[in-house]
Amino acid sequence: MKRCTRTMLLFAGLMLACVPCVFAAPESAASPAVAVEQTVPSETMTGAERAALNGEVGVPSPDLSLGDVDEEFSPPPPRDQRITLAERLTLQNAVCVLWANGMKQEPASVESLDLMNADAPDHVFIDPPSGFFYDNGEWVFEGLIRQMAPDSTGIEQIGGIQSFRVSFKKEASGSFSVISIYFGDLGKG
Amino acid sequence: MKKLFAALVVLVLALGFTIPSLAGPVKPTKQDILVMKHDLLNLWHMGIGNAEEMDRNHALFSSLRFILRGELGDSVEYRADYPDRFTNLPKKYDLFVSSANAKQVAFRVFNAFLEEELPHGVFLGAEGYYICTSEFNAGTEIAGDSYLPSYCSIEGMMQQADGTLLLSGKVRAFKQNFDTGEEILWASAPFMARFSPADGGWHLVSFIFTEEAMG
Repeated sequence: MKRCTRTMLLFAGLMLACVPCVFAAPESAASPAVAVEQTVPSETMTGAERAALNGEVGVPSPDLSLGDVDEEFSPPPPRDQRITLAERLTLQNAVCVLWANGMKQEPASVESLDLMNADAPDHVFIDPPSGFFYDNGEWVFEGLIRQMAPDSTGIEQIGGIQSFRVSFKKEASGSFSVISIYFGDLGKG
Repeated sequence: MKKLFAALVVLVLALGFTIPSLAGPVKPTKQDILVMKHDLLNLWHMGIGNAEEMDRNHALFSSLRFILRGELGDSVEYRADYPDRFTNLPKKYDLFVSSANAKQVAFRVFNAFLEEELPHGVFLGAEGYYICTSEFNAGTEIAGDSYLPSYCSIEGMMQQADGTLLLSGKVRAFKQNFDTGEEILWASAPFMARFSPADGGWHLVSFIFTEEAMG
């Protein structure tokens, strides 16, 4: 009798211990953590090969270009280093968050890691990315970042625009280490 | 005593089945929302104004077109980058999309399964689809305007009791005014969309852009 009661209590205890797990907020596919290691502005820009390949499949360059890119061929990433759509969108979001939080100077410095996991303001965006390539073991993501801001009459237009370049590494754990972030002026914004 | 034990087991099992439903519907993560916005913007650029306009009988063609329009860097392998992938294949095949990626887009965006019939310019290998872009794109080029800087903003989000997610918002595209140098609003469309949770993410159930789509 005593043994049976003990078994029942143990069983009930185990079930109760599971309750908090079941009630916990469901979070599928946690966002990759983005850790910033250092900030080093870099002048190296590659990607002409990829731009040419993009041209083959009918993807025109954006109206405003970042400037010159060198002709050096950059070897492709190992397949386990490739970036998924969700990861690329998360990085785009992180760049938007940093920029929207005032990181518009050159060179940029990262003040808070929390910013990387925050939601970007609705009207700040990166599209289309003009460069997204693998260079000497690092991923490089570059393009133009814009902010829509209606003018005094309410007409929606681009109120701020800057170029950006971020280089990062994909760690074995699946998270990213940002190596450098750079925002540059285009003469307005 | 045995009866009490049996009753306790039944009670615990019943509780076990009830608790998950009490936990509420699956909530979308930040990444899920980013992918949803990306998918809606891509569909708008492809000129698909609502779910009824999606060609589910040709989901393979639609999915590959969707990937080439919006996921080139993420889901595509170029012959120049991975020549080993293209060994013994005619040189006209210049891109590779894995079967897993194509299936995922077909389910996530078009709510359909891939058909067996291959579109023009596509060869099916052991691991996926090899694409000859000049043949595949012939007659189906996406309008140049669809590559203008654009974004999708979400203005309303509501989760239904059945777990589906209703989104409302607006897509916008901007074009440079060569007189002033400013980039001005070129096209926009409010939208409503419904997503349903599924294994490994969310899939688009229905949507409508309430103004004429570009493309």
